[in-house]
Amino acid sequence: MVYLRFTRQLVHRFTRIDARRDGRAMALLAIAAACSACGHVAPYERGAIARPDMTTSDLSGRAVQHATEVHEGAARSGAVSEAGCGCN
Amino acid sequence: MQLRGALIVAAAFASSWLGDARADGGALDIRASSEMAAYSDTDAVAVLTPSLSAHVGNAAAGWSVDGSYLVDVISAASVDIVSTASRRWTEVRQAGTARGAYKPHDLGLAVEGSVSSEPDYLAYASGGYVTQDLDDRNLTVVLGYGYGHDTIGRTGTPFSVYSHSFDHHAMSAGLTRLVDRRTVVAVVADVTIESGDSSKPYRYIPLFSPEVAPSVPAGATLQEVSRWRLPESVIERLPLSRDRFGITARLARRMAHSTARIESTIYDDSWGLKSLSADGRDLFDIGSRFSLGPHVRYSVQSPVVFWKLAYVATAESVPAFRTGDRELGPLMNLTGGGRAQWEIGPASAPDACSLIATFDTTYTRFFDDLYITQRLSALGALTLEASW
Repeated sequence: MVYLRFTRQLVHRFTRIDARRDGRAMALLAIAAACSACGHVAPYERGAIARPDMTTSDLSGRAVQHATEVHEGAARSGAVSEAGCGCN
Repeated sequence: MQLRGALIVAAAFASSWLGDARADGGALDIRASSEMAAYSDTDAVAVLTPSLSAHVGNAAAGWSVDGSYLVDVISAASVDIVSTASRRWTEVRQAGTARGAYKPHDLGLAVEGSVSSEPDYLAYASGGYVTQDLDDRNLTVVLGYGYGHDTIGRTGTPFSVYSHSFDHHAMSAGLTRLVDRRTVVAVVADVTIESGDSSKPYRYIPLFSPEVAPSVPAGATLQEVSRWRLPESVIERLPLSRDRFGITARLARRMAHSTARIESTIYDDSWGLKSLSADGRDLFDIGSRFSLGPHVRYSVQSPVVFWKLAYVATAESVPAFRTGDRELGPLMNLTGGGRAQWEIGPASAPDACSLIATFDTTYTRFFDDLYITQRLSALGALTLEASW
């Protein structure tokens, strides 16, 4: 019950967030971090980075991705999102 | 039939292209995978999803071609279906995707398309990405655009007799940065502009009098709603345009014997739905051929501005916008699960063949809905991957 009360408060507080405004701040922070705080990685130092599980793409299979899209009202977003939710 | 024809043409095209590439002496990377997934939840929905995918590429030449095909077999008797006095229905959805990419040097281009078809819903989407490597490939910038056109109808009625269309334009911009020898971070911003009627023709919304509506509790049962509602019900109606904004950040870090991945998305749209999600997994190496990884995901969202637990109607008016789509209401999802991967290839190349099992269970809490207040779902998938 404590957990559910906390989640309700989170939902209430979250309605005050503006992703357009806060997202811009987040993106600027990320770009600043990307441009300043990172060292230079030479090609011969990229053995760990080249592993398949280090991809920046989603590791979930297609069924898991689809279930997430159906469960979350915000999840169907992307440059080429596959349509058809298979639901009523 | 159209989908099958397109796949045959794509396969023939890929086959002839492969012949040319081999004649040029390029080292081809060929991968194929097959997945069987099953989903079930406490709201009487079950889905079986077999799928196939293939990838052919030449890393030295910088090109690759991908394709996938899946079938969803859906069986549903959810409380929303029962509330409209309908029987359990079973439906089959077919979906195919194709993608081609060419990146000979620092500048790359990818184009992709998808088709999804079910008796009452037909969707086409296509798009492309441009990528540019900078700073000796320590930084990659991605720009993408996609367009989709959906046709929404009713099962058993031809689209020419009854249908409405729905279009969406999606733009994305992102960057991927190598932080150090073991860490990579990516940030992507998505903007989607939707227009058209996405309402579902099966969703009938119960209406209540102004005196009764305030006393309808969340989770009111079918019998209670039947007793309190007005005799009339109306079909779902959603606004005809929607602008969606999302920012996703991903971080992957390789440790001595594991790979940690975390991801978070913040989202907002013009319907007033705001959401935050966080996803984490850690993939541990257990020996040289086996890895195991727990997975946790959490998401929370606020409702769209026109969301109501009990819509009020009077003799003069009904709400202009109304919906029964639970995923437009306030909810939270908590997912826990894991993934196990077993490399079963020969000793010279153990990862040439892999068996991957994933299992996720999700608890959903609906904060302001009729009929149900929670749902528990489970999804399991078994994938076989091979490369040559």
